Amino acid sequence: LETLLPLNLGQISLMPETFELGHLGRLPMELLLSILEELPLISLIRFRNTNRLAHHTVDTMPKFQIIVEQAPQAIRGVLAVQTKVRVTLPSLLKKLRQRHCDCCGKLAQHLWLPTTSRLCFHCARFGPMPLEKEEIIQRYGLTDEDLMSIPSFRFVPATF
Amino acid sequence: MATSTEAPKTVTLTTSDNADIQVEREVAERSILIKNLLEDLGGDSNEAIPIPNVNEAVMKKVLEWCEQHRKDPPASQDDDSDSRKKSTDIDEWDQKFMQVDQEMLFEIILAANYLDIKALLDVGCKTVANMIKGKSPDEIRKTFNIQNDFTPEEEDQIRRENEWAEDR
Repeated sequence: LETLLPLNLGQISLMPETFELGHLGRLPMELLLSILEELPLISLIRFRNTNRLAHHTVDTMPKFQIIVEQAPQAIRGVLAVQTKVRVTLPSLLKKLRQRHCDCCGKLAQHLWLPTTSRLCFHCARFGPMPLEKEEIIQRYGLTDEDLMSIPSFRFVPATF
Repeated sequence: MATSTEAPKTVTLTTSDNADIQVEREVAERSILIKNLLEDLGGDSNEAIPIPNVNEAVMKKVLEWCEQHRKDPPASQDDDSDSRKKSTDIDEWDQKFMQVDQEMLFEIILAANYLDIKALLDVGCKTVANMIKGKSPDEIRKTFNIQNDFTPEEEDQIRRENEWAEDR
């Protein structure tokens, strides 16, 4: 996963010349943080790439730090599958901290990326299976437009 | 003790630019700051309340929102996490209300923060979040006038690191 998405989750040096966030700089930090916590992960990462202070601001968000430290692959994973389910920092952290399976309530070891559900081994193995586009069209008689409106995600190419 | 029926129906707010605004007490009390102030002053005070951090234009806008939402149940502390979660969507009236220039939008957010009007603050923050959503870093910079201060090499690296995320 890391070679595929070489997203650098490390911090960046703050050069002293610019401490500017444009108009957003007018807001006190705690308000900016609550705005950033509203953002889906992908938007947050894009915002992080706008400039040094933005990068630094996101890097120092407590929730971001915790996830980067404990479960950096969860961030990469969520970004990689590009799920259409809205995942924000707080919602991801909450799921990562959840111990029980979303389906059966047993101890969950897995994070099902497309929906960020926690699943135990059994449910992950026999539970939700994604369908290929062709399969769906055949089986349920949906059109391409219908497909756009239901959650989907991208497969991460992987070798086993 | 003064009950709500005896209390004067309107209060006067003096804004930072020295304008007096008359407003119904119930409307003004959407602001927890003003509500607490009024309670501290007792029910029968007719004194104008100074609001030194908010100017007239912004105050009028904020009160317009308070007027619209005067009957809303007060937000309780515990449903906080849940109500925030499902709330990417802003109700239609609020969306229209927030169609102002960025200057005013940020003024409203700051005023809501100062006046302690949590629901309005939430709507404001969500509006800003929606302005960031779905945009490329370049578009975000343009929207908020953020200076790009990465060196060309760093930019290159960031672009390489993030290529996979840009195709949606």
